[in-house]
Amino acid sequence: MKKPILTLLAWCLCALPIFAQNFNTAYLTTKIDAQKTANSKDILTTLFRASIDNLLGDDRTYTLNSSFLGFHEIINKKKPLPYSVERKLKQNSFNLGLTGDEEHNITKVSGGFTLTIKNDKDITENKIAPEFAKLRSYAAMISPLLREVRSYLVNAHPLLKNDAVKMQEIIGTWNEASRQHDFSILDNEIKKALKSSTLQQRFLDVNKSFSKEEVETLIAAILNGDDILYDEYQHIANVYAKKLLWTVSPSASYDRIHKQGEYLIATNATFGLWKKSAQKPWEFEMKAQFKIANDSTLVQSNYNDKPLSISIGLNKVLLQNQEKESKMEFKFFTQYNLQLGATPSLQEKDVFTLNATLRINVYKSLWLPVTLKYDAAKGNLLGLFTLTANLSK
Amino acid sequence: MSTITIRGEFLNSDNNWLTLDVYVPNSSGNPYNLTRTYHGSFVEELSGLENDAIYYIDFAGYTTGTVNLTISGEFKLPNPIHETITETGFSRGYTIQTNK
Repeated sequence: MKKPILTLLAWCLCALPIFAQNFNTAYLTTKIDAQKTANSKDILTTLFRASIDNLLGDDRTYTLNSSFLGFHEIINKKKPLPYSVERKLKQNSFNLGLTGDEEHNITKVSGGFTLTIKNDKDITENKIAPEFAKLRSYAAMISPLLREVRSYLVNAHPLLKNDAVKMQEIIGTWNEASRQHDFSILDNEIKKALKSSTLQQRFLDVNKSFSKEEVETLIAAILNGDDILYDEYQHIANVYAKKLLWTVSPSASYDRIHKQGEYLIATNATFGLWKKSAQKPWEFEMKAQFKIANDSTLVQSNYNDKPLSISIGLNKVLLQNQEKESKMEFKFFTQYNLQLGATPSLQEKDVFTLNATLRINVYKSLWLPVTLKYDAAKGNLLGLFTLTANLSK
Repeated sequence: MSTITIRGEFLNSDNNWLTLDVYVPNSSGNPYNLTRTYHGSFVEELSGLENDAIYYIDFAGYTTGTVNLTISGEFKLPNPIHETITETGFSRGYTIQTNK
């Protein structure tokens, strides 16, 4: 039985990079996915998730989770999907899992689904208007501004009027600035034009729908080197990444040792706090889970173990890269476990724990979450290590 | 007279917005001024352009998917002009000179 376990381990560590090569990233709103926390991607993967729970313990669980979009991309990767269909496939996922003992025997085989009840994190057409109004307004201002810049250049350098190559050389720096999201590289002649009060006044005379403050803000941002359209787009991605995600996950597993089934239903909800803030977001999380399983201390088959678990917590992004993608997260959560089964042989009726999880992005999509559980009543401290690879782009 | 074609092909997104400006600045003899706004893919065929004349073509907008912008037709090199832009707000300016 060692082979299947080792094979699955290799699968978890190798499968995702292979999927990554197959996946056409142009079909996803990758920037919004990138802004989501690792914590929320653990609830609903955007493509694939592979994990090994209880890494240092005897009973490890190996889980592979795939959204239906991820599965579609493997089977039918060359066929582009309409966005509405792509979004539907992204909303639900399925998972397969194996649990092994210290002898590397497979003790449990499990399968289940994660179904979305509400997911506001991914953009839909009908919800887009308010968030995109500002971006649209900036874009509507930039077009006539570029026209005024050209006009200023031709007035300042009349030879430019008949020199398409030179004009494109200068305006080409605007294109490059927009590509690199860095307007500090603009040609000095464009900067000079933008600083000109004549240009600003002409712009306001011709474009009466914009206020002086709006134009001054736009020009100041450009002269400061900011790509205002890109920055606003990133801001929208950040806003969406903080919206509500609520899922329900039914699953079943087969206990090979006791030769009986186990059944589990879980629900997870998470949303970002302080929606206006673009820096290192906080996330609220609520989980509930009910399981029907066997009391393993009894020899005969039974369904006496019926634990209900409820947890509430806060997740905080500690480190981000320049693209504001999360690189390290800390979660503090309380958990209450209540035994609803008639199980005198099981330990306590209820347990209240204080918990903390530190998630560290060790390499690309590979995360190492370390969880510490503290049993407040008994003063016990328990450490759990998990290895997670969560592919979203 | 010259003809040019401007295409914008939006892929994988319903959330698109683009404004197109084609003009000759500070022109008294041959004023040309086209401003259009689009929410999806478009093709503009502009005929009747002056030969050997300079035209400015500017784009600004956003897409949550991909947009392929192409300018082709009777103008000097580089021709065609093509650019692919993915998931961002963007602005671009191009200068073309029609053939003699």
